[in-house]
Amino acid sequence: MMKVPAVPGVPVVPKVLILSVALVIGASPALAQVDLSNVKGLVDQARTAFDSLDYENTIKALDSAIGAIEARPTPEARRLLPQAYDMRARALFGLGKDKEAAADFVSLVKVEPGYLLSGQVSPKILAVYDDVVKNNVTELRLTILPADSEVLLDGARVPANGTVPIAVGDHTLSVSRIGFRQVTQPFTAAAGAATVVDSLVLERTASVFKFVTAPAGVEVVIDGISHGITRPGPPPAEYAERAARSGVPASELSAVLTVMDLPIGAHRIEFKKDCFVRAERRQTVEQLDDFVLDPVKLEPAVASVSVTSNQPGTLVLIDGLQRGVAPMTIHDVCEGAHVVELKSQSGRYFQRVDARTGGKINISGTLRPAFAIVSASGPAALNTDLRLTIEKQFQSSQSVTLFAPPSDETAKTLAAEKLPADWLAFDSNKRPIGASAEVAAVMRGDLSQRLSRQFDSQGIASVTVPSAATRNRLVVSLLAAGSSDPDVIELDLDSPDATSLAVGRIDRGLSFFKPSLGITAVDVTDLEGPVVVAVDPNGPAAKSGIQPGDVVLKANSQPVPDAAALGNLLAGRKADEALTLDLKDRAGVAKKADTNIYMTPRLIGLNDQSLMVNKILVDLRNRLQSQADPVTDSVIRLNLAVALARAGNWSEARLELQRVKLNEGPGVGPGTVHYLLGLAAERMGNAAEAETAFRTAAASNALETEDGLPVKDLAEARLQGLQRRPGQ
Amino acid sequence: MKPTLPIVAALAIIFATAAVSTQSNEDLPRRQYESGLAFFKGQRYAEAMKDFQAIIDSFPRSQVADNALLQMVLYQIDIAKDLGSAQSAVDQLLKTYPETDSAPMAYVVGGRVSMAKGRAPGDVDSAVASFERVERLFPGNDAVPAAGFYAGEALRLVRRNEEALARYRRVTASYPNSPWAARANLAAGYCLAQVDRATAALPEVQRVRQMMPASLESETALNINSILYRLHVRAPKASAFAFSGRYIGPEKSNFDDVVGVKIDPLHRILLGYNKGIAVFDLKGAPASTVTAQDPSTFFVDELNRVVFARDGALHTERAASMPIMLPPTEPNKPPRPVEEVPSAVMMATGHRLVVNKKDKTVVRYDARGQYLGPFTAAINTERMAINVLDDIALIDKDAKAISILDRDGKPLSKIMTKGANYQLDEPVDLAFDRLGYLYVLDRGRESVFVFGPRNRLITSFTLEEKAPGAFTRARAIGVDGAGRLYIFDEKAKRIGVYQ
Repeated sequence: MMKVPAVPGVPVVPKVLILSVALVIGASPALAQVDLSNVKGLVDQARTAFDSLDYENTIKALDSAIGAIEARPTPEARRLLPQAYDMRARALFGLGKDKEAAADFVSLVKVEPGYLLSGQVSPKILAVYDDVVKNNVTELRLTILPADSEVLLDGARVPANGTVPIAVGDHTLSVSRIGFRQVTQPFTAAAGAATVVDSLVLERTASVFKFVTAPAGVEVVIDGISHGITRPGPPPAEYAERAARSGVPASELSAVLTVMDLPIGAHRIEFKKDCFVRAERRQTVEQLDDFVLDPVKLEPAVASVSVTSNQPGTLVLIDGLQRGVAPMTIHDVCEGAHVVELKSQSGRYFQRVDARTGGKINISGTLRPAFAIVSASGPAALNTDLRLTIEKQFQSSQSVTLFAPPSDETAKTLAAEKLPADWLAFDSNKRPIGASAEVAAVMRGDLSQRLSRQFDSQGIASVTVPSAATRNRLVVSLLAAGSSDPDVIELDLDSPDATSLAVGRIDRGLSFFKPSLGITAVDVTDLEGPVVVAVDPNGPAAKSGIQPGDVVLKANSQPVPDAAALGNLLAGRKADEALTLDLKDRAGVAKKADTNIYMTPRLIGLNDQSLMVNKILVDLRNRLQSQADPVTDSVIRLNLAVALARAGNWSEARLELQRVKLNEGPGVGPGTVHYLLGLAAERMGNAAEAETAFRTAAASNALETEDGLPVKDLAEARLQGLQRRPGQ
Repeated sequence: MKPTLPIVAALAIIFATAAVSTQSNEDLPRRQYESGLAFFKGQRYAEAMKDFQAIIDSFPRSQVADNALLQMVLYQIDIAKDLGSAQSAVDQLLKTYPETDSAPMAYVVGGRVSMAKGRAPGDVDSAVASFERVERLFPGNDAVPAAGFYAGEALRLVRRNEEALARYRRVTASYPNSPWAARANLAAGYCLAQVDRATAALPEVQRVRQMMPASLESETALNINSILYRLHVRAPKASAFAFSGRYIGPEKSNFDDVVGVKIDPLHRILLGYNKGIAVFDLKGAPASTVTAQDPSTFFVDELNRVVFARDGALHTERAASMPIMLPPTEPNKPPRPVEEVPSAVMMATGHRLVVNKKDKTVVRYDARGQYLGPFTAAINTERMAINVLDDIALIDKDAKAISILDRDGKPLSKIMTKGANYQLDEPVDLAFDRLGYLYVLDRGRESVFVFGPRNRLITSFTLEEKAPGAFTRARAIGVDGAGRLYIFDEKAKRIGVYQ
């Protein structure tokens, strides 16, 4: 037995039932078609028999055909009826059945009074037919105004003026036209005399307006009331001349939109369509009449928007609709307010523009990592979307984009995740508020990942008003994708300075290298310059003979009064730049040292609570997208690893650390990486791996950050901790 | 039902009036608070407290009421040193304003009050718990680094230096840009010095100068590193000190019967002699003299006033004298004065320790001269010094040693006159520097001996008899914030400066 394969989402139904249903569904049209084709077949069959002079079979086939047509008189079937009667009458005549033949001819002229026998017709038959016509057909003479009225005789259209043949007997004449009262008139046609309907004038009841527009789709508003939208054309041929006169290409014309029932008086007619300049006409109706206006052409109301981006392959969206890839110029941006968005894998840029007809707008977008503001909570002012407030407050940010997706979209997403509005609400002390306290860190991390993906952003954000007493104090929480630990920023809408500070805090940049000599120098009272208290054995200073206890007096002949001056002097230097130091050793003996600059990596503090870790996270991920030399790439990854660790994502941090390759040198180096790998392994429960990493770190001279603690100390403390907790 | 127009109008008026009223209700207390802060900054504490109390009494629901109460708390602990009042104010603040910005700092002060009350393990645990509570309850608040710092302080004050160091480092790592990180760096420097890792302290302290240049903390960092450099980088390969070529005081002075040299928190140099206390500025220029006939000793109090001892009383500059009396030895006998006071010091609690030479005891008084009890007994001493932990070092003539006692008078250790690599001959004076190093002036050996953690001799300093700045008849020694030595020599009759 053949099985019907199951399709996901579609229940399997027994085959017999399906067939039954199909038969029931298809019954009516199928039968109708069979009937018509049968009738045609029967008529063709009759024709073949008739041509073979087989009148009996001709009559037999036509009996069936005529029976079927009379039983189901569809318009298509009825068209076959006259020739069926004609052929059967002749066949009957051939068999000598003159009376029956005459009866068929009577039936024929009732169906089609003007029917003419065609082909070879014997004079006898012709005489019979003429006699039938004479006794059963007369004329109807019509003169109706207006001449373009629709005239129906027994439901079939006939000309409004002229003479038409009709069968003798009862008929109904119906005359109608838009703007006029309809007339329906029964009458009886008598044999031998024409029936005359002369000067039937319809009574006008309303004015009629006819509109054609270019393009179609224009709303027609008369006296402030909409009367419909023009449909795609073409209109009747007579509009071609009018269109040409108006300078409108005929191909753009709509179909005619007819509007009735406009009273006598002056009327204002407006033509509206989005992205087109509105047009207006005035028309006075002095008496009820037909008004056919020339085609109304609307001119496009668009501006052009040229978009460039700092990243190749940036998608350009206008009002959420994708329009192409930057650089590009969009020539059909409708007049009005729009949001132009630039979007890529690594960031987003948006600008709200007000397009003016004929205007040109240039947008040069710098894509920045974006946080979608997905929720707002707390006692905000009525009718205020706090998310839009925050979007505006952070518009001046040079490093990130905070944007508010459409509220229905965010509401739908939160509902799908079963999240209340305060699921990410924190106060300025970073204490969870309301439902946010119920959201575990792991769940927050998952949600930040999912929602970022949902809104095509690098992170998400929320805004809350913690206290009803201070409604203008807002707290924004930022979560990078995958992060569970938010950055919290407080804004005081009454204090622009506070907002500037907050934006400044978020825009604080990172640098990845710091010029160094590989020495630690400190200030001491009563000495002429900073004292070297430590020399990194891997640094350039050690190679040039500088030793602890040396006092730095000058660098490249410039006095160095203190450690800050030495730092300033180094700050602008580049890698391998030469530097000559004048020093005094511990015994007070002057000496010189020729050394050069080493660029030591900089690293954010693993525990630095002042850092906006989520912002740093999206920033570093963004930087990794662009090409960098291998060393820079490694330092970015190292910083990214620390940011990930801070955000609670140790597994991803470990992966990044494993890709870091640093050279031995003073400050942050391979020992730092090993120490961090040890922390990651420890956090992930791998004590053996942690111990190995810590032992390697403990043997190094590296620092935790460029001016931080020696990792040796930190690693040794961790090793002691591991020994106290064996097996963990 | 829609409100009628008159009702809407009335509501609008009520709301508008309420808004104006709220604004004016906030305006007055805010101005009064600012007035209080100005008085506080100008050290006009009584006026400041009046302002703050007025806010709490009249505008308890205003937005600055909690701030005013916090200022009162800080006054009670830092200025008045009234721990009971401080604790009451903390309790009031936490009860009345638990959700305000002041609450976290109130927990911090609560911990400090616990520490000030005593240093028993229970006190320390209670204080640390109070500090830890801040981070748990207010994780993102500015008071968190302050709490972290004070948690380190609580541990440092009971000599749990490694634990303290970890706490300080947590602050510096977590809040590197906070002023509390700078203070934590400085305190970490102290701890490292105490655990014999002085060279590791140098970069840690130097970081303060990078972070907060031109600040008080930066100046302190410079001073601490100067001490560490001198004692641990320069010495022992070179002499830790040399005569600076500078003397304090005129060449032909009349400084006789000198009783001490001190350097106060204002960096003034004070010399006690038979006609009073001569005060010099930082550069050594005479600034003022507190006239006193034959003072036996002196110190500088919490308000930077000179306090000297004479005739059984402590006399405070620009204030009333306080007799220092001993309780009667027998019933129905009157209290008796302490007749001869060769040395007195002030503790961090504000208590005064006074040497009673006649009874060979050291006695404790409060800031108002109220007798609090004996500190130690059976000690023949004429010189005491006190360090930042309130440890007391005394030259014990009978024991031929320098005894070191904790703030409760419990013996901690002794530096014997003869050690493995030194010999004290005639110690006449002693002083601590800010890192806890003890400087002993030995008149007999014409030397200064510097002792570090666990009383280990760090270095000694001697000048040839005829060398410039030689101190052959040394009488008194003082140490300034940067570890410079100020030695009065009876032959030179001046204070020589050594750095």
